[in-house]
Amino acid sequence: MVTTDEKGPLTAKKKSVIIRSCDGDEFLVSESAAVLSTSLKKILEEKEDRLIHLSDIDNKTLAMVIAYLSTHADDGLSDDLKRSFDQEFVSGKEFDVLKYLVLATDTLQVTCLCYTVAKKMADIMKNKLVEWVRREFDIQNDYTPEAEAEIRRLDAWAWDDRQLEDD
Amino acid sequence: MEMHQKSQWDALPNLALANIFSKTSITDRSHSIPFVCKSWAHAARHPHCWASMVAEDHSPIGNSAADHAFAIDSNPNRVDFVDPYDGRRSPCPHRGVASLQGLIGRADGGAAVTSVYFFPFLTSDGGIANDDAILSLIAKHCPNLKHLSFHGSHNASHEAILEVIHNCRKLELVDFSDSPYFNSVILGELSCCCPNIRGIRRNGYLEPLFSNALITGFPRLRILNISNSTVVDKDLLAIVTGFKDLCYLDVTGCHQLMCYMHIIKVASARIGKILYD
Repeated sequence: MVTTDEKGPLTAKKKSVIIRSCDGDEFLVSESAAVLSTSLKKILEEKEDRLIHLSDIDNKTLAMVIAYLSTHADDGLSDDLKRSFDQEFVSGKEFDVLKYLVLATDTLQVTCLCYTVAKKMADIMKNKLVEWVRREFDIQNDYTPEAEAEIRRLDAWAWDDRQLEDD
Repeated sequence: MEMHQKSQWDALPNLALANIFSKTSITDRSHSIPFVCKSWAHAARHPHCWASMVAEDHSPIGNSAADHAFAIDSNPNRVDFVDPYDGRRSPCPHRGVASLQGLIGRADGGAAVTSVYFFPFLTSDGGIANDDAILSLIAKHCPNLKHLSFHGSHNASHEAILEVIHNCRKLELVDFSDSPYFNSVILGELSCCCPNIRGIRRNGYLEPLFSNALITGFPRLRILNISNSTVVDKDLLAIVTGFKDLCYLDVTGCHQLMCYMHIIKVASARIGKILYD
């Protein structure tokens, strides 16, 4: 057990942790990168265990997240470089890949990545028809016609003739 | 396949969805997203989505993008601030009030609202002015407001504006452009009641020596955008020497500046970013 007075800032020393995906593969990550995730930081503060098992993040997603964390933990990179890395990181990714990133981000709580992925998703949906969103994201319309009419009535103030894109 | 089932787009955690929706334009947030499916509608009602009338763009890296948006883009005509009604004003004064009420209702009764922009659709075209009704809603329901743009509002009474200033004491950025409210009474109250003011924007007519009152009232101002204003050399000199913490200054399109290059050259050693013609 770690006593209270020994709980110094974890980033101080250059230590590493091992993170295991749900597929069983293990990744070696510097502690300074790992603590960018609020969840991992908490785990590391609570126990001395250097092996963290993430039961709901697969190999491919975990590798991407770790690459992201390592880049952002690099003090040698300027904010501008990190911003352009973020842009690059989410560009051209399939919707499914982004979905797993959203989920992983939700589990790991990484502020910057959360922002980057959410912004990307918002940009994808920008000015799109409801039908386009349902089709591209494979979402079933679970409204009855009556329920849909009702929420349109509640949001009547927001309705007007808009030009929306369907491609 | 449990994994597959668990991770459909309509089955993502509520907060993860709300976080995505908070980055969309107010148009998408209100016109499209709630109609996709029930779980999206549920997430779109999360107060987190309704903190701002503009797409929440507060990048956690480096300079705050919200500041950037305020300083550079807080103009409803810019793409980032897509207006659901394309600049049209409603003939019905109740419509804008109802819009803002809708926003406040979704944003935890207004406690979650951090920024309000006077889009043209909020104010009415002809008929009875609704500016006071809108400001009164803001004053009563949005105690945590940080960013307020009066851009496009012309008919508010002093009392209504002072009510906002007295009730929204966490204000940080205020945009007075294209509004007639940039005067000594309002600025005086603003400096007394809102200690966190760090950015002011104003265009159009500026009285000679306006800078004196501004420097006295807001000595710790960091962002000043007076582009397209009638600022003169003397005020520019007072500004660059008077504000010790200024890090952003925009004087583009100020045609009454004559011999300002020297002032800017000297000032740029201390002020991080100066925009000029």
